[in-house]
Amino acid sequence: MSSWQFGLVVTSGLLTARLLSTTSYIVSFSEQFLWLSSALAGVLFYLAAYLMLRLGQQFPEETIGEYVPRLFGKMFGSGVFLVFITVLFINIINCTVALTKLTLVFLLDQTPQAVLIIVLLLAVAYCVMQDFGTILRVIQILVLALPLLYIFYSLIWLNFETLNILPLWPDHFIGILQGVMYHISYYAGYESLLVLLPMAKRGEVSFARTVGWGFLIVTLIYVFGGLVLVGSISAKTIASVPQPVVYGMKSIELPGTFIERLENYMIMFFIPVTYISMVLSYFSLTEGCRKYLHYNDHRTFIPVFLPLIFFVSIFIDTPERYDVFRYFGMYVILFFSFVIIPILLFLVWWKKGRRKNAKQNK
Amino acid sequence: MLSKINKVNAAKAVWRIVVVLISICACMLTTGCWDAKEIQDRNFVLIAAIDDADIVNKAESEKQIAQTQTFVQKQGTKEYMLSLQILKIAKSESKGGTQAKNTFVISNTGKPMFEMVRDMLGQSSKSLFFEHLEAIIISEAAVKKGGLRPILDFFRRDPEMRSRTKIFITPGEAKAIAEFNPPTGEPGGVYLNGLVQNHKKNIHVGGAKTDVGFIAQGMDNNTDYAIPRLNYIDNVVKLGGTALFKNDMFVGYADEYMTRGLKFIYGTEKSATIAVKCPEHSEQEIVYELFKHDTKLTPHIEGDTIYFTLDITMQGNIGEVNCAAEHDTHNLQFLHSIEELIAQEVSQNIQDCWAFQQGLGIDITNTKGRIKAYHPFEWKKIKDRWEEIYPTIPLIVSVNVNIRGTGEHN
Repeated sequence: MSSWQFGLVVTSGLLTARLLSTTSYIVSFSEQFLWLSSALAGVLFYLAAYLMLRLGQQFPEETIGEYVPRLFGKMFGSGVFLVFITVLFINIINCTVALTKLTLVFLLDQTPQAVLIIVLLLAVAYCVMQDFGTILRVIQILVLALPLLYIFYSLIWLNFETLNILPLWPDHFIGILQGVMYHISYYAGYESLLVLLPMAKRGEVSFARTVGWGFLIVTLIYVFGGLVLVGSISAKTIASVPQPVVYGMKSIELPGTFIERLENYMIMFFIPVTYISMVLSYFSLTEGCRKYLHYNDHRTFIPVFLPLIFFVSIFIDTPERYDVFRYFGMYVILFFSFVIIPILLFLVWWKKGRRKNAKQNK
Repeated sequence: MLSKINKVNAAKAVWRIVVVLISICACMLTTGCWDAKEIQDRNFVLIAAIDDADIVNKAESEKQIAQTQTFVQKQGTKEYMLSLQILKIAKSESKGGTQAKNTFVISNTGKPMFEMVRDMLGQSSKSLFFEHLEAIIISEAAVKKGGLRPILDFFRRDPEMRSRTKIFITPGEAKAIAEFNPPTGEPGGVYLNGLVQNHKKNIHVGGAKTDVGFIAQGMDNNTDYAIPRLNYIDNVVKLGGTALFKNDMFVGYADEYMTRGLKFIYGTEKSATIAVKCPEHSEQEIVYELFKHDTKLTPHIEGDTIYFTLDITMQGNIGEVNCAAEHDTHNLQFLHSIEELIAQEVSQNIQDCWAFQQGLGIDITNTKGRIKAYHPFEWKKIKDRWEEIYPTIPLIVSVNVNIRGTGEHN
């Protein structure tokens, strides 16, 4: 895959149905400054992705599972790899729960959640069973749903009221920063680049730039999306409804057209967009395991994780458990991105420096 | 060797069977039609009418009917009567030249709305479907009992409900309106929805931002709001004026004149009419037809003084001159004098409405929100004293009226 394809693949997995339920949490902290929170989070999570790129570039032919034991020792290395696997695992579960809940509430209210989860996981497993070239094509086709999703979402402008987004100057920075933390559901998924990096060809354009463009586009979508959402249904209402984006869409009426129930179309577009993230994370999970355990084929690991994903997704179906899982997931991902990765990078640079000094001393 | 080949073939056959079985299971599980419901298998609810049960069931016979319609409940009270107007999908035959009704009404008494709705399935052969709910009518008596929030909660919470469902407040009985058969032959819910959609042309109807979605936003933001008033007497339905709410409690009604003032401030009408006295014949009127209206309500804080300015620009036509003597409507001086009169009329109406709001202590124009938005730091200083400051805030109105046309005839 080319450098630009790498950027597209890594960032296409960021925008998923996970953001729908998280938006209420973010707005309960950042209020009408959702847009500012999203912009700051975009910078922060791009920084995390950038650190991962720098780390991966130190080992161009290897995935995280291969070089981490060398850096940290076998035991700590396996620990780090386990955290990495957990991060991807959490991402898949979050996507599964978000998408099935959304479908259950608004489309298929008579269908048991377990059935939807099984169907979704089977569809994901089927795609992951293909070789990476096919997966890449699937992602390139499905990512076209993203502009369509945004076009439908943009209809919320029809209800926009400037008063809802004013004042524009923030007076409670702590709330905005708290909101940034919860944006992990807006941006998670970039971690898969630690496995995908060796598959990408190094060209004239750097990965930092291609991934950066992807982050910029997604961040702009979030910033404008946040502005228009707050402008159309107000921050207080966003904080009071579980699925504010769908609620905002439900308020749209296009008089004189035959199209109604616009939220259903938007939900339909969320399915392929979320599917991309699930496929990518699941592929990275199995490919990472293959490299770590030196297997020939990533397909061996596909059936291993399916039951676990299914049972955890079913288990966290109560609000208390889901809240615990949400916080657990958030802290694990933040810990991995902002503690483990910088430590690894520091270790690599430190070891390199030591080697360089030793050579100079010789 | 042979046995090895047989084993391989057997393994292949087993694998094929497994694949076929998985495919069959996947087809059965993934089909989207297993819980599908046809249109004729649903009862489409068009109107939800909520009354005070004690007032509606006054007569002994009514009490007996209500007794049959309701249910024994351990929790909750028999505070409200919920009546649902349901669309008849099958066409009814008309009798003796009179138009057959295309809707019917079922009722129940209780308090949790959702429990009542589910109990109503005892009177409905098909499931009740609310996605096409056109109107929610609430009687003044019902809303005075515990405010709007407990009544509307079910309609805000249930995912089946739509945000753009219209709400009405009636001084009389809501159930009677649900039973009303419109002269147009339309179902009642569709008729009422159509009435309120005309608010852009009818300056006496406050129909903008008064549906479930906007009222829910008002409740979330703790702002005051207005809901269209619906009158009904002797098979006559009339929409006009608004019911005013503060902290979700009913405060009173704004008549057509005050509603007009509110609409001038908001600028929500698109083709309204304004009648003024003829400058030359004070007994006669000249009607101005408004077709473009820009309005800007701005808060100002200078030291300890808070005031609002309202800048209005109106464009429109002369719609009617009902003087006995003919006027030269192309005379610019005459037109300017009319423009001035209209501007005075609009300005006076707005000032009256502003004073009316302040008198009642309600803030439909969301002045609080505007100060918060444009002067956040000053707002922090005054927010605790807002209730005493609000009635003293003056409004400076500036109206600029333009007459762009004089109609098809002089």
